[in-house]
Formats: sequence, structure tokens, C-alpha cells
Amino acid sequence: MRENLEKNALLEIEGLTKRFSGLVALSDVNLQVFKGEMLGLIGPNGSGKTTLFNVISGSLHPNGGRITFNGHNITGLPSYKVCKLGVARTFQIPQPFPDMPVIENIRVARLFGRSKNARSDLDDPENVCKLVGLDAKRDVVARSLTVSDKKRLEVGRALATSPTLLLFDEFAAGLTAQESKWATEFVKTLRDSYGITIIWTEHVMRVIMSTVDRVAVLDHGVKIAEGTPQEIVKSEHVLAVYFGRNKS
Amino acid sequence: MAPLMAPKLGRVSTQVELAVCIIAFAALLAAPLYLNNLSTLFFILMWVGLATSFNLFAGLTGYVNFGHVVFYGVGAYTAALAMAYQHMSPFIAVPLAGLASATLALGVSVPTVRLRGAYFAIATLSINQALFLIFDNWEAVGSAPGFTLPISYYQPVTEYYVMLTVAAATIAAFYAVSHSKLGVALKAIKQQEDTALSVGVNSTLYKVITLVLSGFFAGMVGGTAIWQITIIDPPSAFDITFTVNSIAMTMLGGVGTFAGPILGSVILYEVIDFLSINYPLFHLIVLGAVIVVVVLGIPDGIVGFLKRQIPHVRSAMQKSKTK
Repeated sequence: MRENLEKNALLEIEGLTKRFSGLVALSDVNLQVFKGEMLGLIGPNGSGKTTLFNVISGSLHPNGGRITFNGHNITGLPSYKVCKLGVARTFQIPQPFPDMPVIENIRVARLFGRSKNARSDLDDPENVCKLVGLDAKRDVVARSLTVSDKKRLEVGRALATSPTLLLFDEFAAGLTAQESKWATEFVKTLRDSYGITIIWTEHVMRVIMSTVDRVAVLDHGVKIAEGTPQEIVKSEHVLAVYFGRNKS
Repeated sequence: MAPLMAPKLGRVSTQVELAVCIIAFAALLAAPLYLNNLSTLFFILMWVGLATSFNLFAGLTGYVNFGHVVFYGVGAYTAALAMAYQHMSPFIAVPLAGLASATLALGVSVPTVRLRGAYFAIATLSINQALFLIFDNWEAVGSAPGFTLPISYYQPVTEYYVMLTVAAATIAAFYAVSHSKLGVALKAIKQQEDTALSVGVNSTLYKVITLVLSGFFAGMVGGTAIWQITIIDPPSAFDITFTVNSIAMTMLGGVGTFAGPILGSVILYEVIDFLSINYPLFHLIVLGAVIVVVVLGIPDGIVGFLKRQIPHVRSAMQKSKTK
């Protein structure tokens, strides 16, 4: 299965480096994400997960390295272009258009997102609204939604741009156990039924370990491990980073 | 596009707005028949045009352009130079003024449009100062003393109709932009620019287009205004109170709304005119007070305040029906 996937790297990150003046937020990161897989990206707070997302999605310019998405060199491209090529993201702290109703938030994404879509059910904002479970709140102004509904809207908005790669930034953070169960199931559906490739960051390992196909671990901007969830939980280096154990 | 924009009350209030506009336009069209002095109406229309062109950018994008007067000033200079030195017809000079200011807006947008929030405001304010200093020292355009238009251009009724046309065109442009795909993009940018970018909105492009439109209409307002004023010099063409007035009028009426700047200019023009003649400079204190009171009391202006009353009025009407 692995070999089969490797032929279809959707996203290829090579030697990616991002510095904030003196601080190295990402250091020579190499990472491949394969078509149709769900990659978990974990690491302690401040390890560079969000920075990596910001660089992939074009909010930040890298200082070095190269990002190839679906055959396009997207290194340093502005966000709106990266989106139109098929990369969508959710924000860690939900950032809806606060004074627009739910449905209008989704419509804006549909209107400006990637134009071509083979799956007509994501082309229809009403369907996207239903899919994320917000059809009862379609006319509610985004600013007055609860945290978990705002998270649903984050995905809805991202889906409406018709992505082939979806970046989830701490999607389960701040959700109750039941809500985070919904989130996990929902992300699985996106991969299995819609064939969307997913990178999911979370600093709580438990939430995604049971769901993702592979895991990459960041620490201080360095990728310290990569493998199946089973391999990662056994890795001495990862345990050292998370629990402060000395390397033996 | 329409279903995306229209709120539930949208259809009714749009029809009312349209009806009011048509009646007002007809009354203004006939004004020379029943008014001897068109000067007051001319200047009210000038402020409607200026405030609406200000609102076109600031109201729709959320970025306050503190240098809005430069579009007026450069338009005024362009038209005045074209008329005084090239003996050009005002009908060519006024559109030319619009194009000159649109070009300036395009130039201004390059360094400023990527700046966020207060940085944008400060940058545009300094562009105002820079242009004032350039025109104040530029011999070829009359430098500090300025110059006057020949008396042969004096045509008060024609001037009035041109200003009416320019103001109406500015209002129409605002309406068209806010009901277009561009309007949706600007609404998204205004509310959450990073999210707008992340869903494919090219925010830089849309802001540039809007600033150029804002400059184009303010330039035509300036070109038409100077035809009537006939005297031009740097302090009057790049007077920051023009920007402040535009801001106060727009805020009083309702930022980002269609009717706001129109209402605000009609109301404030008389106040400003009276105060600045009888108590020079005192009017600035009043404008400052208006801005403060509006921001604290009715941040969405008169239009926003009225719109918020509609549901109350409706429920009151329903209650009286059930009784």
C-alpha cells in the first residue's frame, strides 16, 4: 500500500525552512503527503505545526525550500492562488465572516474557491451546510454561533472551496468528548467518501492516533519522526519530546 | 448573485430606496426651473459625490482612506489646468479629471493597499501631505498662489447638471459595486481578510479596483467643483477638512450603506456651511463631536439605526393587529 501511495504524492515538501528573525520555526522539513491519505501532524505547543500550515497555504513566505502541490510549485504563492489550486484550511481559532449568516459564509467560499469540481454535492452551499450539520442554523449570523458550531462552519467553508487537500488546524481542540467524536468521524468521511487528502494537526495525540494513516512529529521546527501511529507511539524520541524522558 | 446579497428585508427596502432616489432625482433635475441660486444644491451634490466615493472604498473594504481629498484635489487641478491653459471643453476636462485621479489611485494603491488597519490610514494621510507640498512648489501649475479659470467658463446651470450627473453616477457605481461579485469580495475582506484570502479572494486586486473607482469619481467631483469655484490653490485643493467632512458625513449617515453618505451630506452640509461662515474653525470641533457621538451612540449611523427599528415597528404593528 505504501509503495502504491508513494507514486501519488499530492504534496511534496522539500527542505522547508521558516525563520522569524532569530527564531527558527521550521528547519529543513521534508514531508510527503499521498493522495487520499490522512496524515496526522503532531508536536508540542510551539513546535511549528501552525507555521507549517501557514507556509503551505501561503499566509507566510518560507525562507527556503520548495513545496509542490499536484505538480504545481506553490512555494511562496499567495493564499488565494493556493486555494484555487485545491488547498483549503481551517483556522485553529475559528475565523468566520462574523456578520454574515452561516450559509453566506459558505457561499462566499463557493463563489471564490476552486472552480472545477467533479463532485456536485460540494458545489451546492446548501448541501455543504447540511453535511456539516448546520442546516438548522443556516441563517444564524456567524458571530453568535457556539465554539463547536464555529468549528463546523470552518470545515464547511473550507469544503465549499472544493479542495483536494484539506488542512485541519487543531480541529478537535476546545470540543467536548462527544463533539470531538463527531469531528473524528466527519474527517474520516471526508477521506473515505469524498477522497479528500487530509493533514490534521493536533497536540492531543489521543484524538487522532486512532484515525490517521500516518503520523509526522514536529519538535522545535524539526521533523523528528514519521510513520504509522503504532510506530510513533513506540518511538523513544517522540516519547522523550512528549514526556521528557531521556533517550537511552 | 442577488440571493447571496439580499437580506430578508432587502427587497422591500431596496424598492423604497429606489423610489426615493427616482423622486429626488426628478426634483433635482427640475431644480433650475424653480430655484434662482443653484449654488447650495451644487455644493450639496458635491459633498454627496465626495462622501459616496469615500464610502465606496472605506465603507466597503473597512479601510479608512485619510487622503481621500487628494483624488478631489488632483481632479480639480487636472480640470482647471485643462480649461485654463488648454482651453478644453469642461465636458472633456471633467472625465479627464476622473482619469487623472484614477491613475493616481492606482499609483497610491501600490505602496498602501497591502498595509492593514491604522498603517493604511497613516500612509494615505502622508500622501495627502506629500501632494500638497508638490503642488505648493510646482511652478508649472501655479505653485502656492494657484490660478483662476477664465470668466468665459461661467455656466451655472450646466455646471449644476454636470455635478448632478457626477453625483448620480457615483451613487450608481456604489450600488453596482455593492451588488456585484466585487461587493461580495469586499464584504468578506472587510469582515475577515485572512479568511477571505484562504477561500480564494484576491484581496489586493479587489482593493486596488475599488480604490481606483473611488479615485475616479472623486476626481470628477473635483473637476466639476473647480469649474464653479474657479479659483484653485494647494491649500484649498488638498484641504484635509474635505476628508474629515467626508468621513463625518459617511459615518453620520451609515458607513458602508448606500443611503448613508447621501443623508449625512445633506444633513451636515448646512451645519458645516453655517458654522464655518459664522464661527470659522469652530465647525471642526462640531465635526469631531459628531464623529465621537456617532461612534459611541449609533456606530452604524442613521441608516443602521433606522434598519434596526424595522423589526420593532413590525412586531408593534402585528401586536396592534392581534388586539
